[in-house]
Amino acid sequence: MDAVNIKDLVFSYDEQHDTIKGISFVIPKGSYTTIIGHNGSGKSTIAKLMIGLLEAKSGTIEILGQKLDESTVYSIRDHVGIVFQNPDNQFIGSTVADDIAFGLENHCVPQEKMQAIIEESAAKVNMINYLDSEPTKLSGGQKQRVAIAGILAIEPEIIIFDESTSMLDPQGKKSINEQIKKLHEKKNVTIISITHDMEEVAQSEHVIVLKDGKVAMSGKPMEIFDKEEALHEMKLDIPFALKFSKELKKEGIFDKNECTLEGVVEALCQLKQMN
Amino acid sequence: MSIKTNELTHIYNPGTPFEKLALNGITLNIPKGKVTAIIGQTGSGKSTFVQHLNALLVPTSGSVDIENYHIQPGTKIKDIKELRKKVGLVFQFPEYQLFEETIEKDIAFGPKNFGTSEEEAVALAKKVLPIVGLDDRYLQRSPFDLSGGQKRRVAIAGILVLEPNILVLDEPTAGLDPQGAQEMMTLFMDLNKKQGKTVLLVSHDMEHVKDYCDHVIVFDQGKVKIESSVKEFFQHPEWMENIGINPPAIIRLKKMLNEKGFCIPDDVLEMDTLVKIVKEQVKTYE
Amino acid sequence: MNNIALGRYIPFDSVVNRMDPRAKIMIMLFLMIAIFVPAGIWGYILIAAFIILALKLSKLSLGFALRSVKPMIFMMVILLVINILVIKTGVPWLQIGWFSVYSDAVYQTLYIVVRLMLMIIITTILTATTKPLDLTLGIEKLLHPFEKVGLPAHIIAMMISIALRFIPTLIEETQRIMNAQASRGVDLENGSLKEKVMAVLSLIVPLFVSAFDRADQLANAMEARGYDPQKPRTRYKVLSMHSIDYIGLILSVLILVCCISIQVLGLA
Repeated sequence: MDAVNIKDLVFSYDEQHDTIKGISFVIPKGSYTTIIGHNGSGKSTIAKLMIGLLEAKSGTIEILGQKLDESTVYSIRDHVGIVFQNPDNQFIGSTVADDIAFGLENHCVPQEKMQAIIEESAAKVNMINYLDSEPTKLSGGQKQRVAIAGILAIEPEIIIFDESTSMLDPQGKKSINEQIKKLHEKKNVTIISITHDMEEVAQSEHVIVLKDGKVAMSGKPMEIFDKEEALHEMKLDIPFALKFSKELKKEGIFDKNECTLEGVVEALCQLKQMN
Repeated sequence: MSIKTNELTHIYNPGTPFEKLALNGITLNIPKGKVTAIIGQTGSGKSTFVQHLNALLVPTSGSVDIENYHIQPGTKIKDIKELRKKVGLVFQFPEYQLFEETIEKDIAFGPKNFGTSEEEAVALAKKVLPIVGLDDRYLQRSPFDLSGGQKRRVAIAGILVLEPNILVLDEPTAGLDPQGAQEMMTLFMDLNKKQGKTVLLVSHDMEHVKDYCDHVIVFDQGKVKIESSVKEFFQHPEWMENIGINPPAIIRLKKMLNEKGFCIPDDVLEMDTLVKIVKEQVKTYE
Repeated sequence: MNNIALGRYIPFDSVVNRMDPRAKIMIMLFLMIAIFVPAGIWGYILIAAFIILALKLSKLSLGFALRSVKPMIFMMVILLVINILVIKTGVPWLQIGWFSVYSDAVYQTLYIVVRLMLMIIITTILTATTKPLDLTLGIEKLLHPFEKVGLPAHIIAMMISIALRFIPTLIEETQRIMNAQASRGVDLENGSLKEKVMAVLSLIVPLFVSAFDRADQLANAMEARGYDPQKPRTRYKVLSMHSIDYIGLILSVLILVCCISIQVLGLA
């Protein structure tokens, strides 16, 4: 059973132009998948379709083996969480604890169990000391961490990050990316991250590249980065580590490419020791 | 010198329980015709500073000299309104300032506020639109029908139309895809190189600072912590760590390599030199 | 802005702060009714005594309560002037040419002013000692019985609490847009009427656009987190009544009964 299985999906906002023009892909359970593409390629639309905020014109979406439709959308949302881009516009409660509680209330978690779950989820994102804080007192990164806590509280099997770090400062970005990494290492959730950050893409296991509402390519990060020209045509860049690695390959130092800084450093250390 | 501040201090809500010292004795000289990066964490005072540059805020004490204007405590906006033409301030997510029915009208709004006639303002709007990469066909369209990136270009045109000598940009690439961000930066660099505009760039993106800026000013807790040339700045990775900045990838790589026994000098900031040095050090024993 | 006492929550740790919001709302309602029963001076003394007790218990000063009345002073003065010009019954107190002041004019004004002041102070005590969210929760619970006749109490409560949550965000946004437009030469203070209209438009249109944007995103976030107004939900915050709540309720009912008795028995 796959986490997400999308077949021939078509979607249109205005009945005239299709934003999503027949997309099919599979996201295996427990994987860390990034979805990239230029602005307007349909990335965020796909995220909203996956969680049933938008309704497809044709095609099917299966989440955890269950076909998404009007009758299953609520039960599917028990298993899927999404963190949106704007930290302010998804903070619903008037304090951190209230906001984490919001999802629990919707899922009819008994009141007497809530406090423990709220504390546990807040601790996971290092926000335990802010339970009574109001959103105006928090930074963007902290608000996004609260959003993650609110989702962890309902123990989802899939978490979608829809450009969750694009409005944050470097520190906020770092803290959210670390959070994503931590979640992935535990292996019990599937992570789908829509992003522009090529360094994050290099760290994921699987990449889906969208172009004008279609899947342009998909595969492991290295496989995608190998098609540099195609990426460039789609207004996408490759990470610095890979650019550097390619230069080293040209010079005859590397025999294969690395796409993360860690990978580059490790390969260089090995070479140094060998010599 | 194009911008000069002397012991500039700003206190919000003085004399109330909400009193906050945002700027504490800032003395700076920002050179004319250059691109200067202003960096610092949220709450470091950088946006308060920027708002003094076209008198949206007036100093609590100290003064600011820009072009021929002198701003000090008590300066009245209406006496120095023309300053706002000379210093174009582009706020974060400027697309949220669009409001007119057509792009032409929206761009012409600024000049009209400064007393330019309707016809002249429209002519100026026509002239400025191609600079931000949009053609004439857009003039009569509604700004609300555009994509996010295009809206931002129109909003920037709405500032450029005032023909400012100094352009202050607050995170102009936030939320754009990498290609869009690069195009945006190229636009500002053209304005700097071809029209000689002084550019101040508030940014968190150190790759942009490294690639496009000449000078760096770092704000921290209401004070200027570092003032240096870009070349000098990126030779001191410890400076960046102290103020919570994510250094450019090449500097992070250098640090990781040095920790593993490589020896890469601080002044290496370009990829080709780094490749050469790494090559030598890997092959030393061959 | 910072001096307005009316409607602001003051985070003191007092008995009244800890009271159940439902009890506080009901007490306020009983007292409001009592104020409208014309029970003469004794009625008002009773209510005033209760208010002073409530102020003491909530650690609020009398000065604070009176400050909350300040915004109304202007209105009260106008009322006095109108009454003096209109009411010409009772004992004439002052006569200068055509201008005269009759006792009834002053008494009538005083009567209204006292009632208004008492109402404002009671409301101020409620809002100063109750968090906005608790207030909404209280209202929701009190309206709950009316859900049977089709009143969507929980939706009303959700709307109020979201509105409260977004007030600071929207104020910040307004400031940002004002700055952005000021940089394009907008001057809200000077200029012709036409210019001022444009200036206001240049604020309001972007504010609406962004507010709708926010609303849209907020709705998505709420829905994605499983919110459905038609579905039952559990609640994180629970309210519970304690002895102090019952004492307060009984006292306020007693005052109401006293006022009504005074009126009915014609003692006023």
